[in-house]
Amino acid sequence: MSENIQETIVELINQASLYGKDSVRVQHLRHVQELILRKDPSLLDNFLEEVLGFQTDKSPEVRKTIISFIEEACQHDPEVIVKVIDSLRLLLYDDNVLVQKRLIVSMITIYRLTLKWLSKSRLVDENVRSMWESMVNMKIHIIAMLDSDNDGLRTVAIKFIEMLALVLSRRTSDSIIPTSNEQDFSLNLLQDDHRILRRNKLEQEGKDVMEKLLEFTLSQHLSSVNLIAAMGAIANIARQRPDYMSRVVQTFEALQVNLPPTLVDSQVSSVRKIIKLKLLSLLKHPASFDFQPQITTLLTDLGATQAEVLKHLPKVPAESKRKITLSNSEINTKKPKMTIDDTSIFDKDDSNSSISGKGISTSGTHGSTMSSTSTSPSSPYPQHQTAIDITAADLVGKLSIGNVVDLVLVSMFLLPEKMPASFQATYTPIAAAGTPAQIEHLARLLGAQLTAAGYGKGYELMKSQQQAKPKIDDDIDEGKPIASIAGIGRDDLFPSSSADVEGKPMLPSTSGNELSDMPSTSAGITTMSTIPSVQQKKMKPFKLADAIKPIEYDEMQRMSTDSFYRILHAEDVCETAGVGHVRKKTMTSLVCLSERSFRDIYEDYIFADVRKRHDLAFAWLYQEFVYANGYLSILDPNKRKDFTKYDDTLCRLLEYLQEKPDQRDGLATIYTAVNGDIKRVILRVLENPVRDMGMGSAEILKLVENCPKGAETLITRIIHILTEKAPPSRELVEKVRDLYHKRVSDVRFLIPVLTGLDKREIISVLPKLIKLSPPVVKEVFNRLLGLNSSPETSHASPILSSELLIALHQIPSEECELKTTMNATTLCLNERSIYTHDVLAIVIQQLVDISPIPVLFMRTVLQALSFYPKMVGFVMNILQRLITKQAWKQARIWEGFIKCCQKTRPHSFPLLLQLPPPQLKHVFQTAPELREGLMRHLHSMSIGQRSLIPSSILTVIEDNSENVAPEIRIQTVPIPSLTSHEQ
Amino acid sequence: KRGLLVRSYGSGQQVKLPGPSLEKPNVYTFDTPYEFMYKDLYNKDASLYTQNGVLHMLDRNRRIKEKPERFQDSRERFDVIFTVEERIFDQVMEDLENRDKRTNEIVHVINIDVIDNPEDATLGAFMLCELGQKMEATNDLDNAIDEILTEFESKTKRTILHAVSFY
Repeated sequence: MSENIQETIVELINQASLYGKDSVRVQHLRHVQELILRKDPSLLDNFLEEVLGFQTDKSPEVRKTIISFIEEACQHDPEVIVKVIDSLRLLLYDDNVLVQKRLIVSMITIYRLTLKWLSKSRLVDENVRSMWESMVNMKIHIIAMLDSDNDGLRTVAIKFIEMLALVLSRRTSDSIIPTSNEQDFSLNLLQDDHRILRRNKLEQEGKDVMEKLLEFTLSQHLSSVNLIAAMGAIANIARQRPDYMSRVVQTFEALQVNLPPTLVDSQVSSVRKIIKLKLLSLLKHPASFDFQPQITTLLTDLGATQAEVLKHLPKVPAESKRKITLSNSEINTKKPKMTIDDTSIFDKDDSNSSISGKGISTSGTHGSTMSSTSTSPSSPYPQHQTAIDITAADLVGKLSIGNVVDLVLVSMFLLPEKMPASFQATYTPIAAAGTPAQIEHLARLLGAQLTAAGYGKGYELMKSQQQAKPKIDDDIDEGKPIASIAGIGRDDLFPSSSADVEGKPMLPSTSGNELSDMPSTSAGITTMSTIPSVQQKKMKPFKLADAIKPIEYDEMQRMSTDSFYRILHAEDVCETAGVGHVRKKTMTSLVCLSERSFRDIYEDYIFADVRKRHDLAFAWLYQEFVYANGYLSILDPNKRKDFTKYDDTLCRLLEYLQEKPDQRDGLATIYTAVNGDIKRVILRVLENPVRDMGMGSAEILKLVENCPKGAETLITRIIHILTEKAPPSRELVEKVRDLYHKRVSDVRFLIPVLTGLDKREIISVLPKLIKLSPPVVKEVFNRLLGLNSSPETSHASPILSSELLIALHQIPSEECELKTTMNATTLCLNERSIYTHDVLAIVIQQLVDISPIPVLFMRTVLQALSFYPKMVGFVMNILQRLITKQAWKQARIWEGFIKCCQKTRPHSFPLLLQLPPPQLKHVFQTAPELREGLMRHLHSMSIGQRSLIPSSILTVIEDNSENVAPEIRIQTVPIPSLTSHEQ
Repeated sequence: KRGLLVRSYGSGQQVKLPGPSLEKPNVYTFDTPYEFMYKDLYNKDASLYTQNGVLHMLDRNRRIKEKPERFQDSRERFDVIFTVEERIFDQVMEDLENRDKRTNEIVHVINIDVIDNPEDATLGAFMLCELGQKMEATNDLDNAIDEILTEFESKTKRTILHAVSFY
């Protein structure tokens, strides 16, 4: 038996190595796999080498089969891994993506098996060590595939990482393991003293890859397939490793409000569907108990019904572990005060603007000190409370009606001009606005956003906990400000104004104000104590003037410019910290007060993104106005109103606005420089903005005019978008025409604006147009004939359908091959709704008057006739005209004439009788059957009619002996009998 | 016929065929042979079921396989699964997610809504066939599928749901 199998295997392997169809060879190898691994595994040793030999086979299919063989062999006996590791490595670096992909899929199983086998095996020799080393390298390589250009490779890399996160962590009592994964490895199975596998290290690695995966899930450039795969992976991990439940739920929260902007409508719906599916599966999990409110809110947003949600709730007794809410409320009681203090300080300072910049930045710094001192040491957060939780809790108290209204108003400026697809698809009116639950949800949403953007209290706290756990306490003891949420922005501001602050007696009074506004909390006291301590240090050697070297003017200049730049660049941080208005005021004041250098910088800054920053320009103008009116004449009470500076500023701003650099021109330049993938993305996302701008936009026209080399496809796409729904405007046509004549001679460029060209132009480019590929030609005709356009967008084509067909006929053969022209006319003629017999009659009528008659004329006549047999009478008239025009002088026409006579028997007989004898004779030579018909026709005529026929004609008809070829003669035999019968 | 390897499945609890009125469909279990359904309907009302094309369909089906198959009961693995209704897409996704995973091979699930009557089904069949052929033609489906679907969507003006799952 075994002998027998062995022989079969040898035979199969031999056949597989012969040249032959890949599919057949794959069949053989599969058969081998089955025989060895299912029938007689003892043969594996004998044949492993032979089978592995195929790993270098030319065919990717064969190589993939080998991978599946290896995988099954490893499953059967993990010791094989040591023998196949080199093959695996080779195949991982295969040239073919499909082979690579197959290998990674198999590596998911093999890596898991390896760990399990290693964890059990006591014997660790050199071979095993080096195998493990290779395995680790391959793992690193596969993880790096997350950044591959290939979508499929990224997808399988995600699955691989899912496996890593699972095997490199421990099962817990509440893990839900699918039966098929019951036997899988997990760190519980690893002994502490293993020779190669270090548990702590592996556990850390597991956490790291999980972080990587979560981060990947939230990245903004993800394809929908990758996103769906990643969501599946993290949901699987959460079910099997509930320790991650909180992080995973948060990731879904963040994801739902931050879907990648590259997804199209339908992808958004698919992704949302999967989020729903995954959340429902998480909801079922007992470990998600603490997150039920978040998950249910998300699900409701996703359109899940109450019934669906209830169906998926786990049946566990309510074992309440509400630590989170408890600690949340603790924080809440503290936070709101902070905010109020902050705002009230700012409001006050706003009234005396000349000093506001300095004052605020100082108090801001204190604010940040307070926030960190009041929270970080006092509340040691439970381990599972994360950045989003903290930030959300922090926000809940701040979401007063006033603040929310402000937020909404501020974000009005940032709204896109058109509603994004994803928003439109998912928006549902908020039913329970203003209820505590809804506020909490809003806080979580904002928390997720802030954390994703790397801001917010929770994020900062987590970061500082991670980075400087031991350091924090020391810092506080010394009373130094700790960078926290609010701190970032202000730290940037601080250096710029600190010099001034020290010089002026403003500081004590500001902090005094601050204190009186505040209830004396412990935080306030901390602040107090920090300032004197700093000042005392400086007071001791008090001779300030001695201590300070005068700064060089240039140096001073440089420093002030630098600090100004710092303020400019702190936009995002200030916005997030809610001190955007302070920044604006600071900048405006600085620009107004100081000399030119700031101005230019500021102007450049504003106009780098004028859409977003125009408010800065207005604020500046306003400030100038205020100065000009002398409202702020504290500095110089006798100052007269002086509008020159205001006027100057206004003029400069307006001028700048006019010569504002064309941003889409920039796009075109970028477009020429990027690779195909990005080009495609650009082309895809272009649609809405371009449509919004419309073809009246000066920028677009300018862009078309200045089309850079290599950006032709971009421009073509833009023009296409513009003309999709509306006829091209005159200006657009003008620009495109210009571009076509001067630079881009590709006629395709003209297609979108065809209907804007005049008739003469269209006719002149027709030969080029019809040479394009058939679908394009079709599109051209559709446009010219007004096909496929809805009634409201349809517009008069500059060329009538009849004129178009006539023009096609007149294309000289030297400009365009006859065959191409012929295909084009056929395309036209097939549009029966357009080319009715009336239109065709006009066309034919006009064509026959052209001299010489166009070559395709008779072809069109014949086609018209086959479409509309009723036209036969009309066609007879045309043939009549042809006779008078002596059509036999044009071979093609004459040929068609005869064919037409054949087709239109017996209508054509009277016509034939009008031909001159030599021509008639020729007709008979070409189409002998006409003679017979004509003969019959003659006989049906009355004597009188017959007598009108010239005898020369009759001779030609009756005399069939002379010029007729013998074989034709046979057909004419019955004629005499016919004649006799008549008599 | 067009060179694609295709199998078709139902996903519900029973097989439902149109009856004399909307409220009275003919219901069979999944293990009823087509032959039986054909004869049953033929005896019930031959002219009605000839006219609405149901008999024709059953006749075709009985020549292809013995009886309908239920997706959830099949363990065959595919590269692509087409569904013709969002509800079925959901059922398929859920079923795939709840299966025992072993091989980690990718399967694409794609939904295009097709109205369930003979005319629309024929139209839908052509569309799916065209899409299938496009997918077959590409060398690396996982990498090209996004593009194929986006293009198809804009061409046919239909919304496509697309997700991946793993065996």
